[in-house]
Amino acid sequence: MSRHALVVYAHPVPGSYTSAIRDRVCSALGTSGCTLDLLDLYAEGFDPCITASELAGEIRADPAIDDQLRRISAADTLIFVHPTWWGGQPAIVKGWLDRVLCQPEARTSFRHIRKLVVVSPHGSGKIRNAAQGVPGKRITFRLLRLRCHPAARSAFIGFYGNDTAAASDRTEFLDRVEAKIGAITSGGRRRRRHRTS
Amino acid sequence: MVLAHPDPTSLCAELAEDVRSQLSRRGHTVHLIDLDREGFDPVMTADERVAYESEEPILDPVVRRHAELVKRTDAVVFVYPTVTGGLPALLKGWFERVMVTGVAFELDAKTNKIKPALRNIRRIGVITTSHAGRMTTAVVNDAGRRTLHRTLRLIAHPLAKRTFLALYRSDKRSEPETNIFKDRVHRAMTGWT
Repeated sequence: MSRHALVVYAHPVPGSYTSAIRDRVCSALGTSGCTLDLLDLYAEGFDPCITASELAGEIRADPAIDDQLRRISAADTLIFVHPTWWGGQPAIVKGWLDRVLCQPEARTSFRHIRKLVVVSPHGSGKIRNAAQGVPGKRITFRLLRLRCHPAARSAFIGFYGNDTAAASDRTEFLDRVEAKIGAITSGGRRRRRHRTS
Repeated sequence: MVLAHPDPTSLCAELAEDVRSQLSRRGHTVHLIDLDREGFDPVMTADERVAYESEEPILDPVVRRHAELVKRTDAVVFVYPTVTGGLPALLKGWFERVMVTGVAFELDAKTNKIKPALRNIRRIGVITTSHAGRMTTAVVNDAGRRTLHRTLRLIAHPLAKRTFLALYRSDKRSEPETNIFKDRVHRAMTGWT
């Protein structure tokens, strides 16, 4: 079965470690025969600030959001590639979720998402992130997961301690990302949800 | 105080104004940062991300002014609407851009690990309105409370006191119910000395 993936990517600096992760995700998707829609929030200049009328649940006037909803509806695989800042998604990603999820149509737009994956490097270590209560991870795997297909598979691929990591660890993680994305998107049996590594 | 609501006539804005006037009446010096009115941009730019790793992480004069206020304050109050189970992007981005190395934390020269630097903050207040109910918010794990009461708390004073006041299902509340919440916020602030 051919799949269509929407990759939501956010990092301000071209050539960053996160962009290297994005490239490996894209190549893994290519290998497993997925068609790909890359949403680069910085490059597309997405405005993350929710407006007063959106917050009040009124009719929107921004065509940019219609476009996002169309792209989400076309996909059955949703992959986020972004760094974790302050325990969660960078503002531009949080704002994308804020503005998309508040739309009435968004109740159904995510229904055919069967694979939900987050790949995120963290500056600090796993213990500090756990003490912070991993707010970003919870938003994706609870709030957003509830909107996806009931049988959707979800996976979190995190790289902790990027501030102090050795170059070899970073390279190794890239290989792991490619292998995991390949395994998840090429189908196969359903694995345990919330595989963390 | 930091307010992050796009509508100046919102309940959030009203509550922020009440808290501000109450605290200043009691002799506190209060700075209210209204992120929406200031037109604050929550998106960290490429230059800032590069500078984040350097000795001089702050480039924008607005961010520098906010950072100076944060470094000198002994209490912070955040007033915001809970969106997608957490802070709105406007406030999340404020943390990313203002709370950087040299403001919120220092990096240990030897191990490159984080050392807290906001020991001056002894009180953290959170006032929020949420369309979702209390149960829903608890199930999705209340990212806003976690960010402010845990992530921020980790770098604030070890004995910092925390206050959390939330009005759930705020869009469905009747006027008397809203007034009760306003009273609750008002009373909670009288304990701040």
